[in-house]
Amino acid sequence: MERLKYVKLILSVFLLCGVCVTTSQAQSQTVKGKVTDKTSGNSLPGVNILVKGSTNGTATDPNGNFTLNVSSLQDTLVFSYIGYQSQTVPINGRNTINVMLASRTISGKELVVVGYGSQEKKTITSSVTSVSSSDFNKGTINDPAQLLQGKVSGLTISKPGGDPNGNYQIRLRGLSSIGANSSPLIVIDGVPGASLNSVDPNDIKSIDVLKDASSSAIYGTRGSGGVIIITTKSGSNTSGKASFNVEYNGSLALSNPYREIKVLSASQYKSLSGTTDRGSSTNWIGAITHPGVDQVHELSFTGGAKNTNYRASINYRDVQGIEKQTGFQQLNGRLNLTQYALNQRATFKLNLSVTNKDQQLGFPEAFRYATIYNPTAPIMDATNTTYGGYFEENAFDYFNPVAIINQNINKGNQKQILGSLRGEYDFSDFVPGLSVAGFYSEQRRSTSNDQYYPSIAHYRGANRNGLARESGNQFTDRLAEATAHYLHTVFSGMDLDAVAGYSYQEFVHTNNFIDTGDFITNAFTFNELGASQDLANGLATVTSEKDSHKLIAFFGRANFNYRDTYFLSASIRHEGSSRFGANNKWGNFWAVNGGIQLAQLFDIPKVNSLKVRASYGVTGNDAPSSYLSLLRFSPTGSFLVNGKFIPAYGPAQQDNPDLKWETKKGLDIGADFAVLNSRISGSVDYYYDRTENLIYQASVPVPPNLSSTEWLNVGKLNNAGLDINVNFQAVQQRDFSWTTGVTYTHYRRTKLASLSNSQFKFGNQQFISNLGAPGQNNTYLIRVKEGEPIGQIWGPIYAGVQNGHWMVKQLDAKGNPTGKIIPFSQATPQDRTVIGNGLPKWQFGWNNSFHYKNWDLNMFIRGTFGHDLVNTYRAFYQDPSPSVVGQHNVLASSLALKGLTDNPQFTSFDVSKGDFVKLDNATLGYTVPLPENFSVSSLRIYLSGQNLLTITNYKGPDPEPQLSDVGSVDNGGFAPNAGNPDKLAPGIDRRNSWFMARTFTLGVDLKF
Amino acid sequence: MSTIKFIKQKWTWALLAVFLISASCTNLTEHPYSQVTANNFFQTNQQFSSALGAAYSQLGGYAGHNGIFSEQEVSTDEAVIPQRGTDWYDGGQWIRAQTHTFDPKDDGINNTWNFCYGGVNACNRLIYQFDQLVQKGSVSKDKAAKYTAELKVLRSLYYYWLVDIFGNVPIVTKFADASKAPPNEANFQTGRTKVFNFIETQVKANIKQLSRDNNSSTYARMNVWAAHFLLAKLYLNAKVYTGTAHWQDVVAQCDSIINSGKFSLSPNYFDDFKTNNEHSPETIFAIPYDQVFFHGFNIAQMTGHYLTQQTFNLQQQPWNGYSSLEDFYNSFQSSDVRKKGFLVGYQYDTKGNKLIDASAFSDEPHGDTLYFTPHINEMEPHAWREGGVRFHKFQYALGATPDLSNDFPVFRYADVLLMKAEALWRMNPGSGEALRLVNMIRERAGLSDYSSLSAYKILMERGHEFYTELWRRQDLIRFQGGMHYHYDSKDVKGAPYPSGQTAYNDAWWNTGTNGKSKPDADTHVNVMPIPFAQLQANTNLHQNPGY
Repeated sequence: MERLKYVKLILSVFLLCGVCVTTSQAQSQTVKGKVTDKTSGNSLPGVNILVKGSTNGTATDPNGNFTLNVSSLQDTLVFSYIGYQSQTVPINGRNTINVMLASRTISGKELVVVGYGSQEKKTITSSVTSVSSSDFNKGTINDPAQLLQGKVSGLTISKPGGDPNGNYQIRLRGLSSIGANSSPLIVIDGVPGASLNSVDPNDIKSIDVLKDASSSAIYGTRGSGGVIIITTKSGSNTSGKASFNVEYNGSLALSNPYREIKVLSASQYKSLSGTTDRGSSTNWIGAITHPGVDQVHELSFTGGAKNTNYRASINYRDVQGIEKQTGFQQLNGRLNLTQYALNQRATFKLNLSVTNKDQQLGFPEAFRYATIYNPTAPIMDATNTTYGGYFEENAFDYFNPVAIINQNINKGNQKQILGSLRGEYDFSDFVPGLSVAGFYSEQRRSTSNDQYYPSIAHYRGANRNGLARESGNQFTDRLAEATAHYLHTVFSGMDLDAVAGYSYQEFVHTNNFIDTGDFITNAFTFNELGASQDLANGLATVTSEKDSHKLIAFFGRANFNYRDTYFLSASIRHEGSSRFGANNKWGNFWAVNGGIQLAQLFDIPKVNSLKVRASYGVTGNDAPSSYLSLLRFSPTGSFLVNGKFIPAYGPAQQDNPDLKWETKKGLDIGADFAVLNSRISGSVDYYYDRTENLIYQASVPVPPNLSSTEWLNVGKLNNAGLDINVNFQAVQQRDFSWTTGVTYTHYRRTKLASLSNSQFKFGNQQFISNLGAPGQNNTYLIRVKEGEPIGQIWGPIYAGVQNGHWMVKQLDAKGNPTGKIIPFSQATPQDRTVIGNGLPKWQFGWNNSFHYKNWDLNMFIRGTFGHDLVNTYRAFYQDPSPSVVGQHNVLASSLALKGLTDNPQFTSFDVSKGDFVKLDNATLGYTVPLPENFSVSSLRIYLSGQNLLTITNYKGPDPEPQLSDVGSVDNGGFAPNAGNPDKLAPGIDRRNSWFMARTFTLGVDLKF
Repeated sequence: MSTIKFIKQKWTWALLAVFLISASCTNLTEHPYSQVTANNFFQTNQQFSSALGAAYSQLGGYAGHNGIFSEQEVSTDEAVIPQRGTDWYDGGQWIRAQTHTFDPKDDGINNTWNFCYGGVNACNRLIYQFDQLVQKGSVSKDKAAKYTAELKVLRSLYYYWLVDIFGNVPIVTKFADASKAPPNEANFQTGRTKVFNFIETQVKANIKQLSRDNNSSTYARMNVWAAHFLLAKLYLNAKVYTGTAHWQDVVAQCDSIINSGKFSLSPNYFDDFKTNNEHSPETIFAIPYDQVFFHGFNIAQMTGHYLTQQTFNLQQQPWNGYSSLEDFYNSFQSSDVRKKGFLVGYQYDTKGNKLIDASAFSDEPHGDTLYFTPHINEMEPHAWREGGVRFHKFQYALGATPDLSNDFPVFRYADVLLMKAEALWRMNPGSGEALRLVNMIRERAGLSDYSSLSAYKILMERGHEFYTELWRRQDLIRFQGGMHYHYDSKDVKGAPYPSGQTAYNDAWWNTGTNGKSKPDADTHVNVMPIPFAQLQANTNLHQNPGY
């Protein structure tokens, strides 16, 4: 009886959903009958019966019986029931009609990996995109992030330029944080916070992206940036027989510089007045670049017997960058082992991966100096013994780029070990549906960087009589988890899938760094730092550091599924982070989502599935580093006491015991659909996110505050957008097929609603991101203002060149042009305004796969629109005026500015739209027909091209959005923000960026 | 039923397990390993001293680029950073400083403010912490009182710079004020006179607690003599700050120092500025810069040409910025030893070869050969890269790092003599003692004695004696305009300046373009604007008039 109440409740919801049953008017005929399940024969209560073309109808009673008065026995009845196919039955004069309804099966049983478990795709009512290996991007892929670029709407994956050692910046649904982590949480085989570098792209089986706050709330204080779950390939052995398979994939690739910046040739340069002729002719960009050769080999073994299966693989990558002497060699081994025991009740899973990566990092500055080096200068100058025979000139910010890459060393190494063990026991014998699991993982990662600049190198080395820099980081991350999983049928048709757990994760990091110089010989490079005289003279910099933090959580989730038609899910995570202030260690992060499969309820012509869903969730964001809530002292220099210096300590940071997590509240409304026999399928999502309590290192006023910075929870960010994915199996014939898929994302620009709280006022506006030397310090490119989008580029509006001067528009107090144009030198702060925005507005990815007999062709086109870029190459190196070209070369575009005598000045002329469409990849493959029982079971050969075409008006090296700013560097200095780029300043293409690389790959896939 | 019973038991166990876990594994205390927090500091005597050091180490920002040094020097007639083609435009900041068209957004102005208030805050905090330690009984009251008095006088020095540069600034004295909300208290920006009174009262009230020694235990610390000097400076400019002159007070404070017999002029002017200049008999208060321990003195980088690196074998390439103005340089008599404190003419590497400048503009008077001309062709946009003589009063040690080891003599005995001379002359233009004191300075500089004094002579003597010691701006403001001032009498015109206009408001750039040589329209520029960033962050602050 209790269950019936639920049924009634559900039914009333169902009625609200739009099926109206009204009581009938005067009736003349009566029809009776019983409705049963076609397969089980059970009677079905609550089935709707409607006279076609009228509002007259009824429902079956608890025993499945019905009685209906109809106006004519020639009418037609329509039987419909949740989870069953509707049936249309003409009465044909009968008085008794028994009907059997067939349950509806929605095709496929696709599993989607969600936090702490997996779920059938059809039951998911939050926004999750699953990409399996067959849908991954093709071509030369050296980074797992590349697999997804353009494949998931709402996911921005960006790495401007072709640096083989550069990391992709990943953002989901815009910027969710400015001071804390803004990248999605990476979960690899159940280990949250795992390093993306610990997995080889070839070993990945599927990637699931949890996009909305509801799906990622189960990850608590790490869910705000979204979650990317990576599942690696493992052995499978369903037959029970012993099996063994070997697979080899290999490829050889050639990369060339693509879209080099155009500069003046020696003869063009000499045609300008005021240039310095050094008597030679050098193509500097050509001199530092070369075709890079890459090779990739992967060998994997898959096998198993009755209770055991495994997959072991080894991957080797040798990649060369387009800058000479750059690249990396990576060796990765992986073992995934599954063992069943105790009558298959117990399952043990072991995952182990080991990675070593040797990196030749090179010098991005070489691109900058190759761009501007005097084209009439020679590379070598045998008389110049000071600088090892290289031509050098002692001017500001000016170094021979060939000498930079040949004389200096910049090497890196990364090692990772990620191991996990999972034991699971199925308690179904005691409690049906209950299983309990324990999980332990340990990740050890070390990175090192070794640099040496010899005393004969003008770039960095000579100043210090040889300079060595070494740094090392060690990370240890331990995770212990216990989870219970419970499957239960609450009542007929109502299934519950619940999970609950406890998680303890601890992170330890140590770091050491040394910068020391003055070597008697360059022979040691960085291998004998003790030889450095800077150490004896106190001029070396030595630091070391250790920090740790912990995350502890209790979590649970329950999914209800009523007849694959109504879905409801709720989750909660109670989590604490050691990084929060003493008053706010623990937070609660929860979510609910629900949906209805309309195709179960209504017969919509040609629609196979239409699930509408809505979700709401609260996720958090941990503080970006440890000890931010404590009053900390740090050395503030020295203090002279009795003629001896002793270190002085002062407060580096005010304490904030209230420091807590950032809170992101996200609403997502979406629909998943499949039509035309599921040939067209896809999903649409609208989301609105609001991040509050942003963790921000605020510049607090110096009276009254102790230190000029403090970590505060301050301000709000708003994000909204639309995500669309559509797949279309356009042609499906025996010899020919064509599948096409589109992802589309529209971002409403991230709005900085506030950067204040009750204690701290951000103030009206601030200006950040200095353009830099030479000559353009105190020139800020970005305005930060509450209520405005993030990434507002700020400056005067370019209005042509007159009498040799840059002209700009004069603006009135409101920022509107007065109609007058004035020389730049007369522009006041009032003549500056918003001249662009660094964040993209929309992006798309368009994939096409063709198969014709043994041939396959894949093409992937990707575009991003609406973002602007400050082309700093333009801002510094395009004025053909004598004081510029006397120093160095300028961009080819400067020929159009002949007559300009002004020095470089920043105006909107240097800001360009970054809109682009790229043919990212095209791959043509041929599967070689093989005789049966041949030792090779499958052989495919392919040719692939990466970065084949870029259509854009942007004249800088790469139009990809610059999501954050590393700051300006000059004269051989080291980038100030390299480790912590400023997210409030997107859109600045600094002068050190690599040019793009275009890669052609020939590869083979072999199965034995 | 039995199943249910079992389940119930199971859940009991599960719940128990959860509780056990919660008890043992929910501890989220942070463990700092390489961070110093309030809990693990202030344990030993040396750590107390280290803490006190934070108030002094803030002084490292005194003689670097883009802060108090730049704003104090480039706004005067002794230093300029011209725009040399592609170099040094920097958003127009340095042209604005030279032409007194300050923008509250200029970095240098905000950095000056943060330099001063950083010092004020360090003092406030330490005063508070010593007080706490006395209450806890971990420090004796006497010991704390000595430290506290020293901190209050040091804080007065920071306030002295604030009252001089920004005028009407908020007085914040308590660490408790360092609450998170911007202060909204009664003494917040209550006028320049109040700040003057505050400094005077503070120094007078605490001077007795300070050490009367002048030896290595007080070197680079606030002792009695430094406190007298600070008061003398305050009184010297009292008329500018409050409208009321305190000339006799200047004399009294200077006499305290002179009569102590602890200080004297160095026989050689440049001994005060050499690399190892600590304990010069002339130094009353110095910032003990050191290439290893006390960073921030970057004048060689700031003024040297890129190639000056090879003249002194410097570790870094200098920036080719700060130059002296042609008229200032030419105003020195050729016999004045202090005129040797500039790099002029051809420049050589350490082996004696003339330096060749690859970055020279095609119109430089000496072509590619590096030659510093006193003449600077224009302030912007195309000043010669070799234009302007460069400062070299401080010794540049061979092989120096960007952070020089020369101590910076903030308070110098020569200034005591000239302050006293000026005060006496102000009260009695015929004062023989004033004349004697000025001639003492002139004699050391190798110059003949004056037979009488004038405002022009005193201001000029101060300029020649103290260039790049950050006094020029207030000296120009203290003297009336119109007597100015291209150091040769033919430009001394007298009348056309409105009354109240000071020498600081005169036009001294006579070779500029775009009307840059106009005198200031009014005197609001005699204090600098409150920085934009501070006004943004603290709504209780009000901008100075005229900005």
